[in-house]
Amino acid sequence: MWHLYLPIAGNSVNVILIFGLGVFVGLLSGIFGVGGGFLMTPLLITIGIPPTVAAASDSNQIVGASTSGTLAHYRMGNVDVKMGILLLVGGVIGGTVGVQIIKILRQMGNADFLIQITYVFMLGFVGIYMFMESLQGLKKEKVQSPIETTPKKESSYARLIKKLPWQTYFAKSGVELSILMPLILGAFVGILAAIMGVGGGFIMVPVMVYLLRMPMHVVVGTSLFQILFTCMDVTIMQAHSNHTVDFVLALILLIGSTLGVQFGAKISKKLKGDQLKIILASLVLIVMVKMLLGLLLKPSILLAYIGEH
Amino acid sequence: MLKKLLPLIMVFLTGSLELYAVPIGAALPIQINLKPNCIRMGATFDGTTIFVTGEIPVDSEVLIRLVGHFGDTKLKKKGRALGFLWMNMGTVEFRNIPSVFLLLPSNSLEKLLRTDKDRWQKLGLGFEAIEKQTEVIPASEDKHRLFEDFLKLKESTDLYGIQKNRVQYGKADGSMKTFTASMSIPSAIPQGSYNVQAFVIKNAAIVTMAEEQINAAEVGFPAALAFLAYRHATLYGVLAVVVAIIAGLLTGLVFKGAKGGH
Repeated sequence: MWHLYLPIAGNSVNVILIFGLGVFVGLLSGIFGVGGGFLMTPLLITIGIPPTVAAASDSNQIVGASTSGTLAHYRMGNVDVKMGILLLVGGVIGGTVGVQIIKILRQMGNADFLIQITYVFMLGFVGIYMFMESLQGLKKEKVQSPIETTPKKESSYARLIKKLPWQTYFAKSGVELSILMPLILGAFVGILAAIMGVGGGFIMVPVMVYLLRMPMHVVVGTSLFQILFTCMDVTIMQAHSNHTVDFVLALILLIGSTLGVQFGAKISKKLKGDQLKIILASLVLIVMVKMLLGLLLKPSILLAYIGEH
Repeated sequence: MLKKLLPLIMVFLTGSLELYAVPIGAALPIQINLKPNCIRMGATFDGTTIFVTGEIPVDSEVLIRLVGHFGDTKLKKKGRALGFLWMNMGTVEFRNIPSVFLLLPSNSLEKLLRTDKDRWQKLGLGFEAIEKQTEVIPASEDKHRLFEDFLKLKESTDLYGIQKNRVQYGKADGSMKTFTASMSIPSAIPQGSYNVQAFVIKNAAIVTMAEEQINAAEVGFPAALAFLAYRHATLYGVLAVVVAIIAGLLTGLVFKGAKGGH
């Protein structure tokens, strides 16, 4: 009862469980503008889906969830299309470079080691920085201190980005930047995403907040917009080259996640920027600690299927 | 008839085969029946049960096996990096190992397995026989440890395992008694052909055996979807994306409608 056989995954799954996972990850996607790949893929592996199928099918469901999420955020005026396209172009260039880097690393051996260490450091750095920063923001708000602190580092960074050529105004985000900034940062996230095998939403969000100085609500909508196109590309490539997209699995997940993402977008609007950041930071840190424990504790089985971390 | 006898003839001719390490004594061949005689993996497939029936001499016991295709399996091996980090450190290959291996011993044989390991191993029908004839690449003194981990990994998806209390005997009729074994087929079983074997055992020695083939195949919607995914991969990928976008847009519209628009 409630079981469905998945031909590409080669196993049967409980429909209710998969639907529930979809709703949960969709909620996170709608609230924070992350694809949720860094959470969903490990959860699917835990319930017996082969790792390669889990990652590829997750990309497929993210296409649905981010379409729904982008639409919801677009209606609220939260999508900076101009910025999103520039980040996307940078991301595609970075992704291509990243795939080549991974190829070289694999030839040299021990690519897995570098991937996992990159994961832990990136998650740790992003999580701790966001957590501390938003905690400070929340405290300030409580005290209602009128003093605005502008760290020296930030102002020199601001001066540096003002010197870059091709300055343009991004109306939705309300910032003036060189078009080189989103292109370079998009490429940087693309490289990391290709190396780590994820959509990169959880790196892209802090990059938009801290380096592009975009307001948090526009960040969420724009991030979803960019993720939509990245995952469309990944799904078609994975289906074409590796036959690892399980459409039935993706469909159940996306029915759940498209519902979840709508509620998520509404919750996101109600929460304050710092509250959003601190919850996302906690989530990133939990995943980081789980990965770190996985690296430090001796596993009960010393063998794993290929594609599993 | 010749088809039924073929496995026995093969066993006599290839006496060196590890899986049948113990020579089978001269005895009447037995017959087994499978019900159902094929595994159909449709949209609601969640594993199934195959009933294996037959007749054996009253003073003997039966052991049923399901053995999958013999092939090579590559897995990642976890090891210590920098002395304290556990991560994937290269690959291990198990050569000539079955994809699926299920054992259904009668209660007496299950007791033998637990209490008299030496006599059980001499039968050459269990995991030990598989371990013996499997080659691990790169060759390692850790072969036993690696094989144990391989077993744990396979047992986690029920593709390897010992199914207990699954063999029931009927009333003896003269010198013979009937048996029925209910074999659980896991939902993760790969498509392909499998051998169902029945070994008749007396005094911890194999007397005779019978073998039947069973086929596992996807049917209906899963079969059509797999056909599209493997034969028209790009079209499948594009369709998957298009349906996902439509589903996303539809949900968006439904929500907009419910709220009366923004």
